[in-house]
Amino acid sequence: MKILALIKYSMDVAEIKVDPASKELRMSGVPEKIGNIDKNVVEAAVRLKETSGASVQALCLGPQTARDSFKDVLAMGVDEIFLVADPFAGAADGRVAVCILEAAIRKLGSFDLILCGFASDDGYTYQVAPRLAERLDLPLVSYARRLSLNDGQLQADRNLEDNLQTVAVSLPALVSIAEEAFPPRRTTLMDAIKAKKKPVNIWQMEADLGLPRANLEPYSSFAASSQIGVVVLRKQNIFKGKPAAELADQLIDALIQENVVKGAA
Amino acid sequence: MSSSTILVFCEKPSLLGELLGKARQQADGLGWIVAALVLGKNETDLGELGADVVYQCDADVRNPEVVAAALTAAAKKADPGLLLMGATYLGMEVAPRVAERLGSGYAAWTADFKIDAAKKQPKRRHQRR
Repeated sequence: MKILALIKYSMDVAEIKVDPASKELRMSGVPEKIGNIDKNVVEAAVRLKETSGASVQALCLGPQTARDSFKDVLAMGVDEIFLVADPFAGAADGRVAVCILEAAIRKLGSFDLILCGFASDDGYTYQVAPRLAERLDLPLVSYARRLSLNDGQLQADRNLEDNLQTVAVSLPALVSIAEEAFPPRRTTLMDAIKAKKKPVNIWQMEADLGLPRANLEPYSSFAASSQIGVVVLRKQNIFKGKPAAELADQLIDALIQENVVKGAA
Repeated sequence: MSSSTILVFCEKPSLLGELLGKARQQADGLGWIVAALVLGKNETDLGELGADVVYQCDADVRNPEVVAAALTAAAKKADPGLLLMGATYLGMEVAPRVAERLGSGYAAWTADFKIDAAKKQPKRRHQRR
C-alpha cells in the first residue's frame, strides 16, 4: 500500500502585517514553514502507515529553501520527500499549481491513497483537492476527520457545516483533511536522527517533469490587482473604580448601545 | 440561451436569495438573463427572488459528485457567462471541479464583483479569510 501526502510550504499568516496607511498587506519578509493544515495531513498519513504498514511519501511544490523545514515531517514518519522547485515562486493560480502536482504524481507512479489539506494555510482557496481529483480521475473525500481502512476500502467521517457525514470509498482515492482533525505528534530526538537518513529529492518542472512553463501560462486566469487588509479598531473601553455589580451594569448598557447584545436598557 | 446568462446555484436558501439579488442587479445593467439551478425540491418562488429561468433536477445534494455532474450539465445547457455559487462547504469543493470540467476561470471567496460588458471578464474583490 502506498500513500502520498501533499504538503505546502506556506507563509506563517500570523506574521502578515497590514500597512496602517495604505492597508496593503506586507507580504515580503513573512517567514514560511510547512503549514499547520499540512502537518495534520502528515499525521493522518503516518497513522494510516502504522495501522496498515503502508509507505508514505510526501510531495511539495515550493521554493528550494522549503527543504530546511522537511526534517520535522520526516521525523514524524514520512519515508521520502519530493520537492518540485516552484518556477512561479508561489504566485501560480490554483489551476497551474494542480497541473504541476499532477505531472509530479504521474511521474511518481500509482498510489492507493493521496492525502492533502482541505486548503492551504496561506492561499486558502480550497482548490487543490477538488481540481486534482478531477485531473487524476479519483473519487474525492473532502473535509475528512476520521479515516480507517478495511479490505481495500476507506471509511471516513466528513466534517461538514452542521453535520458529520460518514462515507466509504474504494481505493485509489483522494482525501482532503479537515482543519485540526489530526493534531501532529511530538517527535523525539531518535526520530530526528532517523529523519536525517531519509531521502529528499528535488525536481525541476521542465527538466524532470517535462512540463514547459509556456504550456502553463495560458491557464493562469486569475490576476490579483490589489490586496487590502481589514484593520479592526478596538474601542478599548475600560470600566473600573466601582463595585463589580455596578460595573457589570455599565458593561451591559455599553453592549446594548453598541448593538452587540439585544435587550432593554 | 447564450453566454449572456448568469447561472446561480446554492443549496442554502438564505444565501441563494442573496446571490440571486446580486445576479439580478448585474443582469439588469447588462440586459442579461438570470437562471437558477435547483437540486431536489423547489420550495420557494425563485422568480420573486430574481430568477428568469429555473432549472430543476432530481439530485441528492449530499453527494458532491452528483452535484458537480448536475452543475456541469446545467452549465452546458444554459451556457452562462458567469456561474455564481455560494462559498459553502459544498460549493467550495464542487466549484473547482466544475471549473476544471468547463476549463473556465475561477475566483474563490468573492465578496463583490462587477461584470465589465466590454471585457466580459468580471472584476471581483477577492476576500481572504
